[in-house]
Amino acid sequence: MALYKYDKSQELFKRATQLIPGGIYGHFTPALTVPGAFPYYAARGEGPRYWDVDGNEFIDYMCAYGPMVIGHNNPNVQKAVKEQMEFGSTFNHPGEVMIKLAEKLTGLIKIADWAVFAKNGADVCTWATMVAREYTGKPKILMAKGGYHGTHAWCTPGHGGLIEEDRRNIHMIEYNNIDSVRQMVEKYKGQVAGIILTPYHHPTFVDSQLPVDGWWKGVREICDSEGMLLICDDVRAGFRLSLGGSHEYFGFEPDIACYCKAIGNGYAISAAVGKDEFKSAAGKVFLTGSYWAGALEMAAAMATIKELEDTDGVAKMLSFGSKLKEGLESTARSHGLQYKVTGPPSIPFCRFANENNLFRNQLFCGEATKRGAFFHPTHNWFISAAHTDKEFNDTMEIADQAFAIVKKEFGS
Amino acid sequence: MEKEKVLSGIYLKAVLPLLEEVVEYDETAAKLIRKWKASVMFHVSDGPAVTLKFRKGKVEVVPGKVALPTIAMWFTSAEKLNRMFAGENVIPVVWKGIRHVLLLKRFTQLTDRLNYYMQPTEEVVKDPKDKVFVVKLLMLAALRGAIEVAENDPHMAEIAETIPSGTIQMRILEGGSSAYVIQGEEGLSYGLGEAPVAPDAIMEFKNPDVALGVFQGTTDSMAALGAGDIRIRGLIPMVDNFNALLDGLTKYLDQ
Repeated sequence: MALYKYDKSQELFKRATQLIPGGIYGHFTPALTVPGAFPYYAARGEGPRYWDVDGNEFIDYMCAYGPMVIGHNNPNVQKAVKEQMEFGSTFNHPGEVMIKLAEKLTGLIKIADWAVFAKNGADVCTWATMVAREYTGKPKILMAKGGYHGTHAWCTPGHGGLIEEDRRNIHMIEYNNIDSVRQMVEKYKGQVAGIILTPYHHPTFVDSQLPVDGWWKGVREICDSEGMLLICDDVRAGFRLSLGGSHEYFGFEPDIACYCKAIGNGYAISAAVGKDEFKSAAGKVFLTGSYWAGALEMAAAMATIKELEDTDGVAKMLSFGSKLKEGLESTARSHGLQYKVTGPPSIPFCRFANENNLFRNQLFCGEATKRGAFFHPTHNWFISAAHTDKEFNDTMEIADQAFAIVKKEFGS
Repeated sequence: MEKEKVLSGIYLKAVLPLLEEVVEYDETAAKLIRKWKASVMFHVSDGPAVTLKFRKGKVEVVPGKVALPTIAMWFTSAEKLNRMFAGENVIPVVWKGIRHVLLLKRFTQLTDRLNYYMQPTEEVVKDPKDKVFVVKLLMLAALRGAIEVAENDPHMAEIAETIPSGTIQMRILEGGSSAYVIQGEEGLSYGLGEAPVAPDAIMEFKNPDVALGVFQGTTDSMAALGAGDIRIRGLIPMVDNFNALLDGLTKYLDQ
């Protein structure tokens, strides 16, 4: 198997660095992968695969870090967008499609009595915390250490540009540790507007944590007794575990839930849904943006959700993910290596069980990527409903070679 | 002002100790102190203090005050010390050893040699050997300075706490120096050379030129990462969060 080269990617990157800070910034930065082993620029995609600017073909295990839930260039989504495009995209008003999409989401998600739309996960997560403050009249928001809710100042994992005041009313608790929530609520008795949590804990660089028994029941009870809102940030996991929202998969009931990545299959749209009780407060928190009523993205979302429903897409992703987990772990074992997959099957976090510093994983993922399986070494992966047995078989062949290299380099 | 105090700590505990390396490397500096048998104490009122001990052609910089220094320089405020290090004409209270005027004059000549390497002209870094030394000094100043801000700036202390436990190995390839940072139970520490334990993160600069650009702030380090001029492996948050301390240090030095 010939190893990929990235000459064009490097050439473009060099050009980019002249004009763009860092060349490529944010979560796409080469710094989080293995520079030299990964492509930097994409050219096109089709189903579960994409091609970079050097013409290298990849089985896509990141799916654009989540959005490509039914595969690249899905014909039904593209058709819906093209049809809407004939009438225009952005107007002085929303289109009827906005109401249709709200009807669709409130029909699918049991706790949803209303829906609003934006562009990115950060938009709706931040807005949801404002709704909690508006409803309760209280200032403080709790979040989990290592939790990611976007790039706004109150929660960004970065350090630059922040001032002390940005996080004066944000307080950290330990995910899956109900006592830490209780203690924080007691410490700021009567001041906490809400808690924002992901349906399971998916920090980068470390294992994902599924909710432990009693966690969600405990959080719900505290929220009810203290008059706090429970906000579920389902941006990353939403619609990859259940079309009813990940809270349905894990069996709890948030007051507001936020979605983004898997709604529009690559078209920029996010949503928040909530219970009727909070609708009035939601209406009072200003929510808008130049493109937030864009009809193309809403048409894409309608088509994406329909495709997920029609093809039982969530079950496909869960099934493929389970098979991938078993395949990777058993292939590793055949080399005498210990590979560990945590998190739900459709959003796996993978690493070698006998290291925490990810040296082996960086080598493994780099070698796999150079052979055509795009494996991220430090972030959870994303499975799409377009992944098939062909992708699985090709992946196992690649993984076998990459594990052999790790074995040779590290021994175990 | 707290910021002034932190900055004075950076000058006294991160920059001034570089004289140890300078007198070992630089002949002019070595000649200056060859016969010195003296101790020079810097003390900021209600702030940090260090003492430079000159013996047998070497200098040792130790934290804190000593009982009987040859010369004691007392700064009534951190701001005054900072202004002096920034090159302004500030006269400290020399409350002991005023008669050693010649020594004081020569001490200034010694710090000029430090400045020669810390703020090198293009001519200085044209010499490959000098360039390697300059980069070593800048790296040492960066490591010591980052630890100083982590220990004394509350916001930086919070960032320091987010650095996972373990060891970062830094290497400047193609003839450069190496150093390491350890995040342990008692906070951050550093050392020169290879770490005594297997590192959890490795940061490698392709050559001294790349490192010089990064330490002088003329190179976009994220772009250098993408281009492969800087290579990071292992537990990236260790490096990422330590770099945030370096950014914090830069803000102090730029103020």
